[in-house]
Amino acid sequence: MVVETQILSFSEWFWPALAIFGGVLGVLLILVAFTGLVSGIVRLGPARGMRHFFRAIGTGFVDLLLMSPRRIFALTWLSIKDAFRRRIVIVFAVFILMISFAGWFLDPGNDHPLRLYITFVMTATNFLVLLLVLFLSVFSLPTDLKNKTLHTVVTKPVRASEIVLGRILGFSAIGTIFLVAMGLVCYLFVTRGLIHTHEVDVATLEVLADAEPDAAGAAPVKGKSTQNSRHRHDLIVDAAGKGRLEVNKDHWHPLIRVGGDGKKASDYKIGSPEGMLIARVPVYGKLRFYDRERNEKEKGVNVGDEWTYRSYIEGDSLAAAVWTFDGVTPQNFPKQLPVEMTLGIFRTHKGDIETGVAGNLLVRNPKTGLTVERPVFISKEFVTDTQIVPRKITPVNVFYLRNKKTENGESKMVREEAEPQTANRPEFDLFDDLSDNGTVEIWLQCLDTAQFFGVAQADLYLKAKDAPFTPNFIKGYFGLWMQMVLVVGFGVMFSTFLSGPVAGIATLGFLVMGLSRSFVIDLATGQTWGGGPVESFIRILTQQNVVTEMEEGFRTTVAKTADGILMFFLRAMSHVLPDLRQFSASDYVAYGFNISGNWITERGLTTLSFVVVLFVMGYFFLKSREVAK
Amino acid sequence: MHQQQRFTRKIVYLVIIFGLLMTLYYLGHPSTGQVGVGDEGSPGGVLAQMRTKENLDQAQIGQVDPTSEALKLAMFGFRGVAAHLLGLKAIEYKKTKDWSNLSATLNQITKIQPNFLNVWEHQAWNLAYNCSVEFDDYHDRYRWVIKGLEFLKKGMQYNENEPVLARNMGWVTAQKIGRADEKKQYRRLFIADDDYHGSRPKSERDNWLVGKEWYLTAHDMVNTRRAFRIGTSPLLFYSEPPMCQMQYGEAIQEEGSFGEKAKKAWNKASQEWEEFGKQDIPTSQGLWIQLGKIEQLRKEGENLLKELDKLSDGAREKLIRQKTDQLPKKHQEALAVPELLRTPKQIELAYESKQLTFVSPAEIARQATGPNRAKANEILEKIKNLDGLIRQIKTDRGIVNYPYWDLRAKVEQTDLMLTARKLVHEADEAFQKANLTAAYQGYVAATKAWAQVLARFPEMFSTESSGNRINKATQDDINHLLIQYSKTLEQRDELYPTNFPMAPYVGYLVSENDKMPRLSRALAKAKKEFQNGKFLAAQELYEKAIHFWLLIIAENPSLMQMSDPNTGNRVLDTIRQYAETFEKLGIPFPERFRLRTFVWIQVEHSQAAKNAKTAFAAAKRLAAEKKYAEAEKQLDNGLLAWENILKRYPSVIGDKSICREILRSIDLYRTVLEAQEKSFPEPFALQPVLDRYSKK
Repeated sequence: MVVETQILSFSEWFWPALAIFGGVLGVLLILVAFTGLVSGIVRLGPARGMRHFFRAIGTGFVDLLLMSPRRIFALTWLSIKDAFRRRIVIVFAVFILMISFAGWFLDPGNDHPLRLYITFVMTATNFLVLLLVLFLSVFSLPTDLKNKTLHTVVTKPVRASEIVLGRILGFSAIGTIFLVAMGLVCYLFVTRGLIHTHEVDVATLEVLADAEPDAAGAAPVKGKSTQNSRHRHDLIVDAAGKGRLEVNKDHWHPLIRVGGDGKKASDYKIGSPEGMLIARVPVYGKLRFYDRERNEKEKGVNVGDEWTYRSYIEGDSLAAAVWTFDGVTPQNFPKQLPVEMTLGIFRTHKGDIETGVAGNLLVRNPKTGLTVERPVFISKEFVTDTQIVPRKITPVNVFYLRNKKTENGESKMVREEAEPQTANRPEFDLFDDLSDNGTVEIWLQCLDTAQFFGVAQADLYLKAKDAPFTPNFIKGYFGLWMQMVLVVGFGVMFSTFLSGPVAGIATLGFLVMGLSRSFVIDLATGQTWGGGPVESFIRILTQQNVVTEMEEGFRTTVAKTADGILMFFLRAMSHVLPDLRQFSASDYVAYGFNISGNWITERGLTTLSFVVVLFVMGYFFLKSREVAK
Repeated sequence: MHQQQRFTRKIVYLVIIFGLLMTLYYLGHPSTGQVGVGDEGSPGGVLAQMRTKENLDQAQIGQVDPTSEALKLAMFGFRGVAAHLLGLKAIEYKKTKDWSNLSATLNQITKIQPNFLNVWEHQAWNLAYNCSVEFDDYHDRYRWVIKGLEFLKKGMQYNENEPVLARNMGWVTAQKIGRADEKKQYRRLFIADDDYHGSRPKSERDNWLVGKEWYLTAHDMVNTRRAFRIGTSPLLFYSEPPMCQMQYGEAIQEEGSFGEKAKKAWNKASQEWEEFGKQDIPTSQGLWIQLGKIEQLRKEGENLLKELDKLSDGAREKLIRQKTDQLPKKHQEALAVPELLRTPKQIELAYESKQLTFVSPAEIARQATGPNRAKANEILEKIKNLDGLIRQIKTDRGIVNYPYWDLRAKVEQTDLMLTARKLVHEADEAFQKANLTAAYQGYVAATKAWAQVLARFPEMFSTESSGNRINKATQDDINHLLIQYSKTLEQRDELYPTNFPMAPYVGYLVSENDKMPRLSRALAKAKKEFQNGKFLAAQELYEKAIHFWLLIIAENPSLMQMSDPNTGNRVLDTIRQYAETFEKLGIPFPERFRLRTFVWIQVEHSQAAKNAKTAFAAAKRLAAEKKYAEAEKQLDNGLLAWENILKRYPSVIGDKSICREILRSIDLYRTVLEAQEKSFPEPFALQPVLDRYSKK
């Protein structure tokens, strides 16, 4: 799975995140306070204006601190009832309709059906719920104001803060109800949709070429299953009648011979698909590279791939990719260290077409430099391959890799032969010999001349365990829930001072910017082709391509100046708005990776921070309006 | 008043709505089929009728897919935008190697634009050619080629009358599977792929034959359904099925099939190629041609020319004579110089002379007088038309290499050729298994068989379509054989036998080499300069000639081991003449001589060198036994042998390694003479070697 943004541990994340949050909040507060003060002074004169400003701040604090849960609940309930009156159930009907016909659009022959199904259901749910809460949140307050129904509320003893919070909670509750209902339907759709079975295609069964029959005359056989759900599996059954259908389309099936002579399909019983609905719990390490002379580098070789996610190491050289893992303890990995990896392979020549490129792993103690070499493996591209490092390692080779400084001050690893008593040891203990307080280095090397392995940080990890799929699915929906709450927050905040349609456009703008934040940042920092919005507009009108320079002159100067101003605001906005894609965990669920507690906590806190700020902003905006005074 | 106005307005609105509805019905109401007996159905509105007429009805184009139709409707006319966005997504997925999403996205694009052929063509190519190569395991790569094929098949279901898709199916099946680097593996997997082929028997699953079937499906669409989008020129379109049959023949031979199966395959290929020669093919000039008809047309042309000559009463010879006499002096002078000695300017002038003395049929026709004139003009017109047709056919025959494949298909089915190929295949296999004796014997037999093939079918070497130059495919076959044979000879430390049966063909390959004219000119000029005593100029020209020899040997490496003694001797002659210029100029022969290795190989394998070495070994033994007189005798023989080598290969004087061997013999000779108290002979025949190397 591609993980472009590394998930930090909570302690690594919290303090820098808090500092950024505090900084942005401080700047915002100063700006808002300054604007409020200046506008008060301009409108009411210096003395009255200042008095008015400080009174508003004081009232605000009181309104925010003395909110009544009972009144908040009543207003929340009112929002829910109001939403149902608007026939929002239709959205659910649309969803059911989409799911009912999803089978038409989803290709069951896809190599990774779970990824396809999960991506579809989570994307469909996400957009439907986001659009639903967007429309609910932006039109509710302005409609109440227009219909004067809000007057009936404000005349009651309620605070403006309670009105805003009630709306946020109410719409979030509606979104939650929909998400839960849709999630349930999606869960059933995915789990039921992927269930299938096969039969043994008895015509393909043959005794393994090098197998010898046992005393009873039984021998292991191999063959193929029948084709169902647009795929078939290779199968193998041992002499005792136990076997399995080999992995295809990310799953396998258990198989057992239930009787007969094994020549009829009914002699075998094949179980449901396994290995598909899982959530691996990965332990990621920190990645660094060494070049062909074993000098430490930040990146490997660029083989000219347009996508620079992976960096490459050269085969048959000293180049290596090294991951440093923490927490490698007998408690976390009692039996063995399962190293899972997904490698990119780049060949500079055809080599041996029939065989993959060879590689090997080294396990190194970062403190002592003691390194043991593991057996050679044959790489598999775009497939998650597992290499087991046992607790007691019988090494292929033992030596030391020691860190030395070069004349240029660079770090270089130098190989030193192990002393005879170490070199001749038959086995090494993973934790006693190769771990430094739970820290272990795994080195990946490519062994074939002029061939390359491509890796990224998340391409090699230690699999701690397989967590169940269902909680992971729920956590994936929790990511959608957070996006939904953010949209509600922005929608309600905008609706406190803008008319419905304008608030809708503003929230939609936030949604689009939030979902394409990386593009917005590229645009704001001038990294996209074709310049800023004004320059692009001119290019479209004049049909000028994006790579040629604009002709110098007045028009270009004006366009670039206007773009500079727009891009300044865009840059400022991009720092303030949340990156909504960071809240999507559908890839984790689809690729079968567990969503970590850190992920949930970090994003949960981010959501909470945004919602609190949006709520406070919404309150002050509403308070500034005549109706709430 | 107000109410009346409102009522009137409503009536007007209703009338307009009704009018628009009627217009809409007239234009757009759909056609209905026959419902019951006597009911002929309705042809539908104007648009429906136009769709039917232009074959644009969805039902006429291909299968009606409810999913696709539902999506198209749901797009509200925005499907172009949606397809564009999905296309961008597909590019992004390909960039980030997200293959499952790429497949899903392509699926979506085709659902919303099922009749946009470019999508099917381009994306099938993308899957089969671009995505497949991203995978390291050839099984995965094969699977993506099949995905490309499945994609095209789906496209054909939506577009049943589009030969361009069927042709693409043929192309990917035949060319991608049959020509890729992994063709051996792909062909094996393709035959074993039950899921793709379904009930098709394994014997019919060869990718070239399946590809041919798809090409024929495309032909059928053009011939029977008046489909016209073929995606290539008609010439290539019609050549594809028989070419597939030829490639099938080649492929099974490569895999070791040389019996009846191969014979039948080539026999069928020959028949199909002949049929292709009879196929009427439209050209861009609006002519209809048949590639196999050229000989007949040429004969007709010759007869017409004869008739024209008769009518003009031998005017042709008269005109040629006149024109030759009228040639400018410089042209006449250039023609007088022998062809090999012509300068580039003279070559140009000689070529111009040919053009200037050419007599066209029109000129001959103009010479006809009286009643013959009208008849001559009539014939002239026929000749012109015929010439145009022949020119076009000749061009098109060249494009598809018609004569070569015609001959090839006929030759390949002969026992002689099948045997020759079988022998090469078996020898290659033995070589791969490091069974050198079997490989050597196999290559010896194979070269004999190939020599017989070439003697019986000399046209295999050069055909009309290759511009009467050596045919590349035949040259490749011969080169492969010679390279392999050379390798086995190298292992056995032997040169080619002097009676090597393919020597004439190696000689022919050399004579047809494009460097040969320049080499010959350089040699002729060098000789002239040498005769005129201009040794420095001669030396430069010989250096140039040696450079050309080097290039020719690089292209025909078997020459290193004397596969053609005639050519080899010519090389040695050049070297000898080159060495003479050094002698004349009094300059020592250079050590860094570019054909040193060639000479070294010849010397090492010469009988003289073997004699010299044997004599030295014997003399050494005898000297150790203090039998100096006998040792001296042996050394006399050995030194004489070295003397002969130096005469035959004068460049050896620059070769340190050989000269060291000579020096060892001389040193021993001196020791033996001293032991007998004899003086060293003077003058000494090998003095140049002593002068050059003894002090070093």
